Amino acid sequence: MHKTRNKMLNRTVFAVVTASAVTLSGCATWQNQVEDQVAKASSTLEAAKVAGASRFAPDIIKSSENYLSQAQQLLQAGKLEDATQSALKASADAQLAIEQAEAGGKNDKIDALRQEIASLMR
Amino acid sequence: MDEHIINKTSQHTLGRYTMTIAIITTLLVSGCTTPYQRTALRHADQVYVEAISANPTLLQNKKAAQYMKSAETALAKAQHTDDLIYLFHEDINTSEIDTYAYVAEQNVFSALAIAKSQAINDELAKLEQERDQAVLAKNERDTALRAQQQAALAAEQAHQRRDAELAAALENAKQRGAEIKEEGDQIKVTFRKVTFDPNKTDIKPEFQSTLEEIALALATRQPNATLKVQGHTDSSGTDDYNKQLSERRAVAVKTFLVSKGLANEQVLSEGLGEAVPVAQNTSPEGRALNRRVELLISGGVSLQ
Repeated sequence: MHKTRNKMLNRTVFAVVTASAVTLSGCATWQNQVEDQVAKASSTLEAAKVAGASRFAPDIIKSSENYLSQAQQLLQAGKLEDATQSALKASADAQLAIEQAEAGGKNDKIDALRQEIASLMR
Repeated sequence: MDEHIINKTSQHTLGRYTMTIAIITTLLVSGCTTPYQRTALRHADQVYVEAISANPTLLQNKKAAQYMKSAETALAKAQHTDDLIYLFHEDINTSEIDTYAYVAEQNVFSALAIAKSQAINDELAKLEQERDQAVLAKNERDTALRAQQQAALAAEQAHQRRDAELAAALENAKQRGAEIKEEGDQIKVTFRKVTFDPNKTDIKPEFQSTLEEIALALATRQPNATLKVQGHTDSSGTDDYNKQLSERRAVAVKTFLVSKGLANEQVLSEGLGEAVPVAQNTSPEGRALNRRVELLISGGVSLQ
């Protein structure tokens, strides 16, 4: 009876230790993932600014900046779940800003072409 | 004891999953929208559906299709979380649904921005073509205008040369005693002493040189010019004699001018005899003034 009890105890300890190790390594992986997401959101936002989105989509840029700032603060505070959500929103905003900047830039080209044509017709 | 607890737990789990299956089946069979969709999710779903129906070609653009796929994935995640909350009363942070719904919407708007960009591309291509055509048309206009300006300049320069040549010929005539006057749109050249010997119709050599210069200046350069040659006499002799003499002299001058290149129809001759005196015939000086040949040159000529 004692032997069986010891066996069971050893197995339990083993299981707990293994589970803890897996959980801890999972946490570290999750932390990295969230950091990557925040970094990705940051670089997408930068790309949006380079594309001229501050001019064509200022509100969306502002929104992305706010979410990114939130994500960074939450990450520092260890609130990984919330940080992920903010990072996702920041990324989505930044991507939209990029697309709107492209459309806006083309509209500028259209205006310039129309002016050029009008002046050539004179 | 342990076995009893394990069995009870197993039964509870089994019951819970059975309930889940029953609910899902009921919903599938009833075919109605899950009533527990959160507002944000419903809205995102609506945005997605409206984007597709309003833009039938949206998914034909590869990049737009990728955004719509991402939107679909986000919507599915939101829906899944929503299901878990409803079915199992899971203690899940509901802001996750809002996040995925938000991400889905932004992805749809990104797809729509791409579609708008594509339409702008078409407009750009059309305008670029229009611009190229406008450039060609402008170049043609500019070329034609330059040719016109050059032609006008050449004509003006030629006109100036013609005027200069005529002016030079008339200046020479002036040096030889002729009177030059501009009267309206014609130039009047009056020759006196140098023209003919008394009662003769042969043109004196000096007069010939002067007439030749004038003829050459007009013949090739002033094709529109016309000359009227008027012969005048003093009152010595009869009216008839003077008229005929002046006529013969006018014809002699015309013949000479035509021989030097002027067209016959460019030159008119007229003998006025003593009819148009410019001075009294009572003195020698007066009579000398009345004995004259006048050339009236008109047709776009001017003295420079």
